[in-house]
Amino acid sequence: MSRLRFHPRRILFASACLASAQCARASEDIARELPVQIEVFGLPLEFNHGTVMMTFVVAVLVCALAWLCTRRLREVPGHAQALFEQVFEAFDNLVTQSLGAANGRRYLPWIGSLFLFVWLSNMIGLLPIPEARIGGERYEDYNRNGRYDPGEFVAAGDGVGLFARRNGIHDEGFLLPAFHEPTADYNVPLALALLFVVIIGHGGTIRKHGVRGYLKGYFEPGGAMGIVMFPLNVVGKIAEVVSISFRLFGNIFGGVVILVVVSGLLHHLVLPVGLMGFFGVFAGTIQAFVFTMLALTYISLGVADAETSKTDIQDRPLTADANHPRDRGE
Amino acid sequence: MDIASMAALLGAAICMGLGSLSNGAGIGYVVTGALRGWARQPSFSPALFRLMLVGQAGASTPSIFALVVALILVIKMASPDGAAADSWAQAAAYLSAGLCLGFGSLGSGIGCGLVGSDAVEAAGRNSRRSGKIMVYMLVGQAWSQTPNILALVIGLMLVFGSFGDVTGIETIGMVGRLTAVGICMGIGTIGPAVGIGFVGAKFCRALADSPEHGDGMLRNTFFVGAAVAESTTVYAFVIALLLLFGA
Repeated sequence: MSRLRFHPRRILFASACLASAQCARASEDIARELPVQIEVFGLPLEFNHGTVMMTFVVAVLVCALAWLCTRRLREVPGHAQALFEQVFEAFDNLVTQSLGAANGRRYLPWIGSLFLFVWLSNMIGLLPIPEARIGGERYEDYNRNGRYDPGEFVAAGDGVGLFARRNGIHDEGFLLPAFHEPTADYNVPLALALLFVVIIGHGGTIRKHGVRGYLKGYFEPGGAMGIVMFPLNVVGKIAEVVSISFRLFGNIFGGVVILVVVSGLLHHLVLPVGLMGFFGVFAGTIQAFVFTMLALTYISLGVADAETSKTDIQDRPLTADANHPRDRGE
Repeated sequence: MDIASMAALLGAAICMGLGSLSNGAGIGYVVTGALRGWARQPSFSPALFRLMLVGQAGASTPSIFALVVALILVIKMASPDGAAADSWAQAAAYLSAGLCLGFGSLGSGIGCGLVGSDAVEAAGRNSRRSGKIMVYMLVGQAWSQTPNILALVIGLMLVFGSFGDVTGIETIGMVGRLTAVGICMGIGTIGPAVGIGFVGAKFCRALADSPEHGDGMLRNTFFVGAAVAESTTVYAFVIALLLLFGA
């Protein structure tokens, strides 16, 4: 166990290395988000290539981590298994306390993966991995005949030469973007909020109370005021999605903006390292947790049973503190 | 210097000035709660210190939102959008964005501080529930930031929208309308954010003081109370959107 103990000095050194590599490219991050335009059934759609690729990278990472840590389950867990067991237990407790034991287990996989996904999304910008192009070599038209001939390849570099033409189309290869937080693009938090608040939350309410019961919720508090309350309740439901998604987006995007501005002002000297620690690790973790908890809260408002959950005996307060002057009778 | 750039600078100053005004007080208020909890249970002080840092980080979010909009305004000032640079309407939009986020951060700064303070103190009173208290502290702070986030949405619309294409007599109406958006959304957030802060703070305290009731009933009361307190800021949000896009 002592082998794995994290010394503060080692962490500081590692974060300094990461940060110096990161800061060098952070200033170009915002400008690089070029959307790819594709026409689907006559509708012009835009895809943010970088964001889509990064969500895939995060999803693959989450799956790989989960698979690696649960591959060989043992009675006495190893380091990785112990870590995952802790995360699992924490979320198991949270979900079963909010939704009840039977209901909670149904929603646990969603809530747990949501946290892991958002958390890794907020963190992944810390990895200083630059843009990489797989395939798609460029060529220079040396003999000026307007087309590619064998032997005209040049080393890959931005803006050098043209892409080789193969089978009539430019072979641009496959672009893996420089690692950055996909949650800094509003589309990702919005998609997550729609999935969890609308599909799972509202869907769960319909499943539990039926369509009638669900629609009745829009006229609460009922009675003569019901009709008046309807538009306000609709706006309130929309505000749930807006607030939960913009909270995540605002925090992560704000961190990126502040990091870029401060790095530019200080020419990537010491301070950005601390800022990265705060916005990347600390705020990233807290916001991932807050997003998960609020999603769970919105789901539980529609789904939870009316009965109150039982409290274990260990939750009772300490009756007296022997160290406290008042309890000692002084 | 053109009129839009000047308004952008003024907006950034109002935004950051008002945005950090109450937020500093809120962050400091968390420490008073930590000190009170600390005095009650000195043996629990390291855990209280960690909880205090988390509470302060949660409480600093409103000023980070204000900082983001202020930075965007300053960057806009450095690179004006050509035709819009001399437009009074665009200037009003920038100033209004500053008002919106400046006033919008006032209430949330206090509200998050209230929740953090009472939560840390409550963890000192009943240390066995500190894990649960931390969870609900974060939920309460996040809820108290909801009005602030609605203000951020309106503020970003004002900053990135283009309002420079009105001319003549329409300009006066546009200037009035855009300023009204900032005032409506900004001031409309103050009360609800503080109110949700009160609810969250007392919920954390109740969680520590009466565990025999279970947290189910308390939690439902907290959620309903916060949702009702939040509804008034939703009214302000609707009116701001109507002002921005209405006829």
